[in-house]
Amino acid sequence: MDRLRAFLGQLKEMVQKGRAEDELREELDFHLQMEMEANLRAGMNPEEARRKAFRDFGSRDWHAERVREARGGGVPEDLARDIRFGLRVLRKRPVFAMAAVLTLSIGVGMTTAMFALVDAVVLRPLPGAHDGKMVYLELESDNGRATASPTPELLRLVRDHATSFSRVEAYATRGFSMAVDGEPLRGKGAQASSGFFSFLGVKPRLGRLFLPGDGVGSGSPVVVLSHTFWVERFGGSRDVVGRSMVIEDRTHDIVGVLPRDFRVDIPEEALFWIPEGASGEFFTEGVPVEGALAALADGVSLEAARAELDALVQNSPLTRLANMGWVGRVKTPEELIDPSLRRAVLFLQAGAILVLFIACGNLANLLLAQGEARARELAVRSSLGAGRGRLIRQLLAESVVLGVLGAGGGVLLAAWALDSLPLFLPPGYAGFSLNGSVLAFAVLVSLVGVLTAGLLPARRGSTRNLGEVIKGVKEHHGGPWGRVGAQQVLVTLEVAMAFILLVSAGLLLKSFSGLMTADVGFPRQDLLAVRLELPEEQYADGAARLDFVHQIRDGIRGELPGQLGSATVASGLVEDLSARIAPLVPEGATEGEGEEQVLFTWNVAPDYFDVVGVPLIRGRGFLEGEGAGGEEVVIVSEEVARRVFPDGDAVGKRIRVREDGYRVVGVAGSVKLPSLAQSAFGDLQLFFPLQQGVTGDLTIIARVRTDRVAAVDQLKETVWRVDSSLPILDVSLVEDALAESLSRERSNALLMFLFALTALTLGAIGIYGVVAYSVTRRTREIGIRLALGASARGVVGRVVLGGMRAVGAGLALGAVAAFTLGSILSGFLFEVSSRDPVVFLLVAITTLTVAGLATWLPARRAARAGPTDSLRCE
Amino acid sequence: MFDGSQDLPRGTLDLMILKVVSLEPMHGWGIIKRIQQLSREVFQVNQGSLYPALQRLKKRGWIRSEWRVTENSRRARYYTLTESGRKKLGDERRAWEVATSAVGRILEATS
Repeated sequence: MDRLRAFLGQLKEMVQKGRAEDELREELDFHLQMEMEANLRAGMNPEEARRKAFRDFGSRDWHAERVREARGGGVPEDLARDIRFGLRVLRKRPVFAMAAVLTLSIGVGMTTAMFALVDAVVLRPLPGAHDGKMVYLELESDNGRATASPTPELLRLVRDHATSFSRVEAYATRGFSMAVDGEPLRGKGAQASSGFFSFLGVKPRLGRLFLPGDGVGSGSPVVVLSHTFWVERFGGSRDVVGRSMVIEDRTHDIVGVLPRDFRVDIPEEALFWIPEGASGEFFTEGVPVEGALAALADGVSLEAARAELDALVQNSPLTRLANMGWVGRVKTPEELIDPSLRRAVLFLQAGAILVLFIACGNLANLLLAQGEARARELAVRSSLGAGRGRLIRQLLAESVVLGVLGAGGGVLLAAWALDSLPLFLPPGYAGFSLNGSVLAFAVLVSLVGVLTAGLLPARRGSTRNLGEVIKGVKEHHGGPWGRVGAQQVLVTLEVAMAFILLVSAGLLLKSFSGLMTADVGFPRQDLLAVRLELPEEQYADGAARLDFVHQIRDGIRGELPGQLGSATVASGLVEDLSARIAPLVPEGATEGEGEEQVLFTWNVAPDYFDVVGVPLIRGRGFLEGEGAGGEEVVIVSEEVARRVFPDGDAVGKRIRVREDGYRVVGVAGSVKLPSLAQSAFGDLQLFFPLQQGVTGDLTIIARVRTDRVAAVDQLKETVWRVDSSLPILDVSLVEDALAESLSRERSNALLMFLFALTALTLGAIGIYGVVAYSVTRRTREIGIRLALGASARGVVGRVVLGGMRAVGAGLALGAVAAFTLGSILSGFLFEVSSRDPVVFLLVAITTLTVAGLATWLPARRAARAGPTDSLRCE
Repeated sequence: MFDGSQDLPRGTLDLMILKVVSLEPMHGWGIIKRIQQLSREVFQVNQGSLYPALQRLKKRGWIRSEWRVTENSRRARYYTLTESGRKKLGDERRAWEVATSAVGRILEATS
């Protein structure tokens, strides 16, 4: 305790150094004064007393120095001195300091920004704190190929009867119409059970989140805003709490704002959250639940909970679920993370770390060069009695100063990067921020980086032969044109790492461009999709919906000479498909025969195949009015035809999907959504006529001629002539929508490309620095060579050759590494081999060119200096 | 280190300072005078040894210092014994007694 206090006192003295000195002087003066008074009392006259006192006391400065000595030597004081000294040294070499800090900042910034993603996606998959008791409830098809959210009736069963779960919360999202300050909007909103946020442990950014009574009482309904919506619509103003907005024609009081890093497992962020209504929608019929969370009851294992949920699904009064082939699943939050997203994020982090390594390599090179330049200073200090440990410590202190500055720069860079990242990151990467652990990571990374980079130069700097250094004898190295020294090894490693990054980026870009141009089963250009949602109230029955479809088709036909080439109506195109799990067998097969399959189905108008361009391979398309009342018909994909009718033409045969039978009238090509996992949906596809099952979700698909804007207007007008109040959900070019579905692949490729570019630039700077430095050091030698008649070209050639040796070694090393490690990449590649020779070749040429340039530029300088300049430079 | 009092065994000065300060809080000049007086003018502690020694003891946490006003209304830095200083003094004192009596027995040996 007393020691601690003494230490703190010392710290205080250090901070108030001036005061400590004053106090010391005052103490010594007091001593003199007392001595003088004693002398006076002993009978001396004042002058005599003063002189004796001073004589006896001796030099005050000498005493003060002795005291300082006894006091000094403490750790904090030494450290502070080293850091002050480090700062001074760096200030004296601003170019070096800038280069070092900038290099480190780039490496640290990229690594930190990526770590923020890792932190958000892999380390903290869910918001708030939970004690490991939180689980997700899901349904899964029994072959494990499809998942779905639990139905409300299942949730009610879980809430009322299951003993494994102490609590169940649910949420759902959908499109809402709303108005802010009188301006009507449409967008995605979410609804959650009232205990949802408290269960997740989410703390509001402003105001409050849901309270138990919300949505139940008679008071006006409440709404909580997402951070993004708050910033974009309300300018992030703090007085938003207490204001109101209209949602579905009802005024809702804004009671709070969610924190920025809040997110749940939904593909796009909801603008706002409202609580579940009084009827408890999530636990009755009606609201399709999007996600359900539950808390494991005390002492219940995950396995027991799984068993109970599945038993509920299989044996409940509602056997519908089990009949449809669903089984209950209980998943931990960790199991819920999309494994491909996790892989992608970790992969990008690895890329960023390689960039950091390269940055550290450059830093080490800079420090090495500095160390040699400072050899004389260090030698002098050493001969004046500074111990070797002391010198190393001081060089390391300089590194620490660099590290702290680099960390600062890196954090700034990361903050900027994280601000701009969302612009091109796909959903799923949400929720990252510069939180405490990310900041700690940045500091740790830069200190480790700088200490690693600084250790080697520090050791070398402190072990040089002092006498020789002082005399100005330069270090001699093996060959006449540079040695295979630390700097060469660093260049080799940097080139190898840059090569690996470039190959990765090249492969990802090639794979992405392959995805962008892959066959989707129909010509994607100039195809426009307008998504509609027929409101339940007006279009309650199929007849009303069909009537709407007829009117739309008639309307479009009337418009046709305009900008529209042709148009059709379907339940969807690529993104709006429905999946069903059912056995698919030829009619006549015995009951229970046939494996359950994941089927993808569309309901389409007769002209669908003509307009979209999905080829009809055999048979015919649908006829007008077909499927209404008469025999139910289907057009199957080739894969269905092949599987169900392996030995004959499917056309004309009957097929059974679970208990419903259809006559096959045609065989069509498949619609494909190219993605890394072969196709996002399988090739078992069925097309039904719209008449056989029209829902409220409809898509008008149109081929446009040249003027898209006019075409869109024409379509909208047609829709509104039929129903002027109908909301149009979305208008997009199919081409764009397809590109959008590849946004994750695009951002992976772009980020990796950015890393590779940075790596190449840093690598080139590193090479330039090393060659330039070696040229400077050998100016004298080069001068002599020139004076003895060597040609300038020959001199430049030898320097370039010397530099390129390390580059060549790095290239070889990188190629071998990329070749061997390629299999890691293959999961990210679409129809591209991880050893694609074109990519390897292009990367090798690029690297050689850039490295050659980085070597040649400084080498040229060597020859340009005249022989006399060279000799004079000493 | 102990140039002003070469005759003192190493550590003795620290022991004496701790002892004197344990009697009452005291400033540097007072400590010298007190040691002089208590030792009946045998020990003359040099200020060149005293102040660094005080600094050392302070750093180890055995004494602490504070500014007070003397009886003649001057500001002076007074040193006080801390709790761990008191323990240290006890330890040192026992060690000293053991050592001196041992040395005494050796010196008094007659054959």
